[in-house]
Amino acid sequence: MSAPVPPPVVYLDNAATSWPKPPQVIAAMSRYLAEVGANPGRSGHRRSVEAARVVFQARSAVARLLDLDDSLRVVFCANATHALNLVIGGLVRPGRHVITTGMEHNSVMRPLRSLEAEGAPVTVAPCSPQGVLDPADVERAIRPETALIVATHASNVVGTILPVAELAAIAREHDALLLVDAAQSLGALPFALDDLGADLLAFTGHKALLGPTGTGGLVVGPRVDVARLEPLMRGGTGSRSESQLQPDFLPDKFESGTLNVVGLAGLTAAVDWLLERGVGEVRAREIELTSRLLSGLGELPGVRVYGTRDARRQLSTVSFTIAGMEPGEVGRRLDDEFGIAARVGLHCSPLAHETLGTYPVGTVRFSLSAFTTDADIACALEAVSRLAKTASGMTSPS
Amino acid sequence: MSALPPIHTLFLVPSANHAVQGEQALLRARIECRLIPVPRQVSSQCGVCLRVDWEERRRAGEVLGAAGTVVEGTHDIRMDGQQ
Repeated sequence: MSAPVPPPVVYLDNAATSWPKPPQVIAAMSRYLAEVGANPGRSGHRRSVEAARVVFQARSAVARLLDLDDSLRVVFCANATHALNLVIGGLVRPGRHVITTGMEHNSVMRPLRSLEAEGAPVTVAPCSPQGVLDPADVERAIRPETALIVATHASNVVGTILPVAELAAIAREHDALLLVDAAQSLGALPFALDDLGADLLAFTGHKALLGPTGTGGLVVGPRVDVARLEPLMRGGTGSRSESQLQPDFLPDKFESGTLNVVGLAGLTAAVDWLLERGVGEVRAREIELTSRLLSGLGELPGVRVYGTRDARRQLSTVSFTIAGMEPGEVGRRLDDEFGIAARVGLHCSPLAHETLGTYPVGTVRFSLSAFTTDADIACALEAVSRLAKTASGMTSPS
Repeated sequence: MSALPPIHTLFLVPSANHAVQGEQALLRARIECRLIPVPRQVSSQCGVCLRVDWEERRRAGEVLGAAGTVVEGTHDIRMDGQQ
């Protein structure tokens, strides 16, 4: 057995995965493993039925969060990448056209580039060096054969919030569908699915939702013809067992194989925790802390902050560089010398870094959560201040 | 001798997801129900179905319809277990 990992003093890598989780998440997962433990929907015994209820509660929790009428429109996947691949690979046929933005993660760009190689051209609507998208650039890229617009709701590099509601209007006007990557935003921003107008929404459970890894999903809106969306996998669903053909209804069509029920038990507890506090309340607190972080970093000589630098126009994700010090070196020293966990480099988003002008070196990223404190921000600012002085030769290395 | 009267009605649904959705709707309407394995004589699928008291079958059908639960069929079960 490996030695326990000492926790960092300050955890600011919540855009990668959030930590800590609410204690209720751990309790719910433990309860499931100890007291239920069966396969949902595969058998008729009481434990199996209880496992099916656990899955249903998770669907209902996500539906409440997004103000959905029908929780069966929530398809569970392993993560947002899985959900994005499901749509990109399952909906767009060769000869059709896709539009995306200059702020996308590789979870969008890699499946799109693969699709492009199969004959479905992709247009990237550019964003400003602050990561801001003008919806008119998306509308200009529309073609008669455009089938899908794919956009992140908020950048994983600088947190910039994209105007997805405007993109939804463009998609509707031109008979295309809008797929929103909400990996960073669900749980961080208060919104209903109807507010966004998204036809398809990919989400993960382990970031701002504060749930466990291995949970996520796809919300399928009413404009989507389920018959035209091919599943990534086919196999056992616990339904239609008499047939060798894949079920054609939601959510079973896209949920082959046993679900991560223990993870979904934790996800329900996490969403309940968030809803009890109010996503709007959590957001307001994060705006306050992000403002302090942005202004504090902006005042440090040698520190450059990227993105809008306006906490109301972005998530609590802040990217910066220190003149004279590689991001990798900054990250290592933050961890070793200050006990601060941050993420450095390209954040799996080379396209976004090209847009921001930070490719190929990347940036240092601090990302907050509902558990981030005033003291965490003060500690981070003090650490970056000291490192910036070191980099500029104003002080000797500690 | 005439057949025994029905005591339960089974509502067949596409999957366990729909069954739990229906169960929650019935419980909200204070209709007692139980999720049970689909009897072999009713269907060859391995899933579960909703069982309600025969007297409640009409109201249960209305509640399930209003909740959007897809019902693929109903079967009455007699006291001797026969349909």
